[in-house]
Amino acid sequence: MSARDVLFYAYAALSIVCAVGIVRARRLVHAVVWLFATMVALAGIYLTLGSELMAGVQLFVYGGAVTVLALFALVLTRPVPELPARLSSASPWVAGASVLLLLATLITTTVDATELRAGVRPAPSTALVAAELFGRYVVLFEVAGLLLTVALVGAIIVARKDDAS
Amino acid sequence: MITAAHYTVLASGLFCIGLFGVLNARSALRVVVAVELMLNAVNLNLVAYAVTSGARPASALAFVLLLIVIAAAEVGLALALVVALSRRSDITAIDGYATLKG
Repeated sequence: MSARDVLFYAYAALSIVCAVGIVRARRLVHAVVWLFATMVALAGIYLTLGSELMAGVQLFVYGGAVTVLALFALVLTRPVPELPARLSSASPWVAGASVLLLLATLITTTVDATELRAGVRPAPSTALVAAELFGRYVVLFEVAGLLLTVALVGAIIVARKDDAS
Repeated sequence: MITAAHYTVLASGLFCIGLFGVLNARSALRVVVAVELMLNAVNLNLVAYAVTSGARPASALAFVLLLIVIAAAEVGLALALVVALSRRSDITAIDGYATLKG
């Protein structure tokens, strides 16, 4: 087992544990902190794939921006009373059973797929990715920027106070 | 040897944990957090396929970056909706939003 394999298993175990922590956390703040930990573990997974660009983007966008945004939303909303009425008493079990079924299906199809037996190759350099993004896909890049701007303006309009209207 | 299948199994696990979180959440914000986890699982799959299958890995990673931008726009809007809903109706428990029923 090479060092990369060991690192993969370590980060994979860490990300699964942290993801379970998100679901299990009783308080929302704790769930957001577990989310942050999961994102950092996933950045480690990207490093085992040899893609330091994706690891950096993961840390900046998800570890930084999204986590902080979620914390802001948490501060701006009223606290939910802990344990309000459930939809139905059986729903966690039904949800758990169907999710387990989905997981079993996904894993069996993954193990069967011969296309997925390929090992990890050296990731493309950041310069190559940038050349693609700002060369061949530059229009797509501009459209994505426009989409982000529109979404941000929309978010401001949706979240502002009603006293203007 | 670590193969693409390893990464796919890991992503499946993360996706399913996120899905369980969405199905089991009682506050709207918790749903958003769990959806984040699901989005990340999908991203992990895409990056793993980009690096392993390798027809044109640089294009695939550029594609993933664009996907992250779209996901970020979605998160911003979703969190704004959560804030607006809690401001207007005093409810952040997800089963309180029966007004959106058709």
